Amino acid sequence: MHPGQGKPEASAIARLGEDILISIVSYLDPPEILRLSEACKALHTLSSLRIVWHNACLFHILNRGYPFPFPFSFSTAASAPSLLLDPIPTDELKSATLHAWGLAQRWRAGIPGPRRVRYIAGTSGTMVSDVKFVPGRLGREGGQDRQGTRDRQGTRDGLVVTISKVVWSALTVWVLGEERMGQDRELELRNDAAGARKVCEWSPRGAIFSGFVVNEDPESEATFALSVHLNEEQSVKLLQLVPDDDHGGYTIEELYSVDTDMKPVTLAGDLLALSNDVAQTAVWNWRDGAHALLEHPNDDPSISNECHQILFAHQSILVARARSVHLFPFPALQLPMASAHPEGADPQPPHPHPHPHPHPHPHPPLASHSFGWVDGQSVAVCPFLGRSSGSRTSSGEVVDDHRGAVTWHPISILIRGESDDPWSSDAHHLDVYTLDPNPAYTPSSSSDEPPSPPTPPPDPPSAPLLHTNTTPATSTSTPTSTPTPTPPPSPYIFPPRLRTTIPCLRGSLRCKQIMLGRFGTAVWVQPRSAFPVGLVHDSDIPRHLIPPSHGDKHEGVVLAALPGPLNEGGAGAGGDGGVVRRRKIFENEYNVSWTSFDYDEVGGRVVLGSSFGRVVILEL
Amino acid sequence: MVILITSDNVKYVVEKDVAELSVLVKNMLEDIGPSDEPIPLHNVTSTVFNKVLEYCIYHRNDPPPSDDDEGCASPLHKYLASHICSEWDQRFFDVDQALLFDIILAANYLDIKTLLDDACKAVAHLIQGKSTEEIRGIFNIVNDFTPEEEARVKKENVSS
Repeated sequence: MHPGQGKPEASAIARLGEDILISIVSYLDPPEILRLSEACKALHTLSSLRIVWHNACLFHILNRGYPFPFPFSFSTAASAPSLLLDPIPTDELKSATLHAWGLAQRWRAGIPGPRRVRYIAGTSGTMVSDVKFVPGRLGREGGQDRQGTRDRQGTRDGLVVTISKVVWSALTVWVLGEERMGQDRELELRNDAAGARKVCEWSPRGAIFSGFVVNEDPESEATFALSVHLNEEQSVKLLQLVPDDDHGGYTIEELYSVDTDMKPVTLAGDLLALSNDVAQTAVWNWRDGAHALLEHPNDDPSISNECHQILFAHQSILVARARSVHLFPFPALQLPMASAHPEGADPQPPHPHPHPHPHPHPHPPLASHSFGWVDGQSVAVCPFLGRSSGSRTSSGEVVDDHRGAVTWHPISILIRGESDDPWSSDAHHLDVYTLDPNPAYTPSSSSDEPPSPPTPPPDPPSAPLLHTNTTPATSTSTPTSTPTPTPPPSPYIFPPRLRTTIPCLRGSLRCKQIMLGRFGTAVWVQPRSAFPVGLVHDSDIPRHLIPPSHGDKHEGVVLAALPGPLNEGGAGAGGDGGVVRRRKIFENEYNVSWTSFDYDEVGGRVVLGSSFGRVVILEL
Repeated sequence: MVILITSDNVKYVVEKDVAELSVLVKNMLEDIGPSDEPIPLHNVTSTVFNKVLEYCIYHRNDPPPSDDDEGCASPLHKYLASHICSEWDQRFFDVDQALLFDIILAANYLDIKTLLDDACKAVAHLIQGKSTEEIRGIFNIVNDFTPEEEARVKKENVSS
């Protein structure tokens, strides 16, 4: 080695100075930084600098489109990712960056299996109808309890909520165990029955719960919303999960209650979106009471059209129902809300109703589509889909491959068509559709409503930086000076475009849910071997009477990666098509059907509830 | 033409557009105005300056780096650039470590951003995929941790 001859104490690298070394380290991926930090004290000090982990996160996680616990506003994240990193303490930034790197590498190497399986035994014997993770604060997501029990108060790491029922319903919050696995220890499967502890419960006597949602924004006071049936009354309640510093636990406080038969579907910060099973959706700012009603035309209100998901999209709201999908303009929320009945819904859905209450003027959809009758669907904004890591990323704007320059991201829709047909073959499929941004749409050309709501929606409009004249002759936009209101253009192009199809298995499922994350990964439950179902519940049939068909004795959890940064082999040139990688990672060996699951894409966790209580947590 | 004199008193006559790839030289030229006065480069020897000049002549027609350092696209470009390294650049940086470090320091002093970035990338390339022990060997780094400290650092890194 040329430089150091004769004077072993001085490494030439020290000549370069801190700024240059920081610049060199910015080209290293997170594990390489760790190895460098173990070389000597000076490099350890250097590698502990905040700027080193800021760069590592920015260049090696965010720019590559790897899952990272962004706050839920993706537009802000896209335009100024470094601003979002600023509030994260350095040690959390480091640990979140390393976690994100490790998870992304496991995805890229194949579908990650569960490295660890944990159980919540405390629900055994009860019927768990719903189970959800509680999002942690930025940088502390994914159950990372690096400091063990230290500094746990006030954070929500590793919290899981169950809705269960014995005689009446109970909402129970569980904290998962403290210890966690080392970063590189693969597949350390451990059954950890004592891994969860009940920290609080909310269970008004005689009440039955439904429509349970968790706030996407971990900082919001309104942690949960749910629909409560009690004494023939139906109401929606907002609950706050309050850390209880004295006992290291939590308490649940009721923030707000409103009488309505609508059910909560999405809770994003101050905004709660509710829906009934027919045609109406209400958007309600619980803090100031402003609200609006959305309703699509509906010929036959006696047919149920259950709402699966409501997505706050670019200046619009996408309502995904079992039989149809509707895009509404983001409405101007009206003050004040009457003391009750935010939506004027008729308590008797079979009655044809256009809203008996005079006040809320329902907004019609901008566009609608039907995929037929779907069992499950999941809509998400996936900015990185079809892109390889680092090719095009979240910085600034996204140029759509087909439609010219637009400044917001497409919406992806994962669909599982109705599959409960016992006479058809085992083969079934999931479809991925895309709603592309409409370059003809500009905020000023939208309807008579103000385009921006008083409260910013979770995905606030980004500035139209790149509105070049790419609109083809099909454009329907008209100058804003036109006095007569024209049909407002939609920010997304309808109908949805079929992007890819994923083979799966047909069969009877209790849990028909599917979930698509914004980093392009998805989870669903695969049925056990198909056999005729109809009048009898599957668990009532003796096992030996069930003919084997596709050979799976148990239902299982399937993880999938759509073509994108986590599945580069599948990324086609145009961002379309490509191979969806998928794998069954866990089987339900108890033959007690799963009822519900939740997927924490960023933390790399799946939680499953079953009809006989035991809750399973898979750490990927 | 611009006359540059290195710290070991070697005189170089360089075309203006090449010399001005150095922001330091460019600013000096703007300050002194049109003149035949040689510009002294105090911190650069001729050995190193030969390499710097070779780089600048080869890259003289490259599009200039973005002025907007904090622009939202810049980290991406930087990231992408770390993977796009031409064959010429690879051969150019295939020099002994002392000279590589001297090039970095010269690029820093002369304020030639692209050369500085590329040279840093070349150093990072030496580290990539190496174990801690290999890194110590490459850079002649003495492990100055006590065994307890080293164990603690390793443990900290495993658990984070």
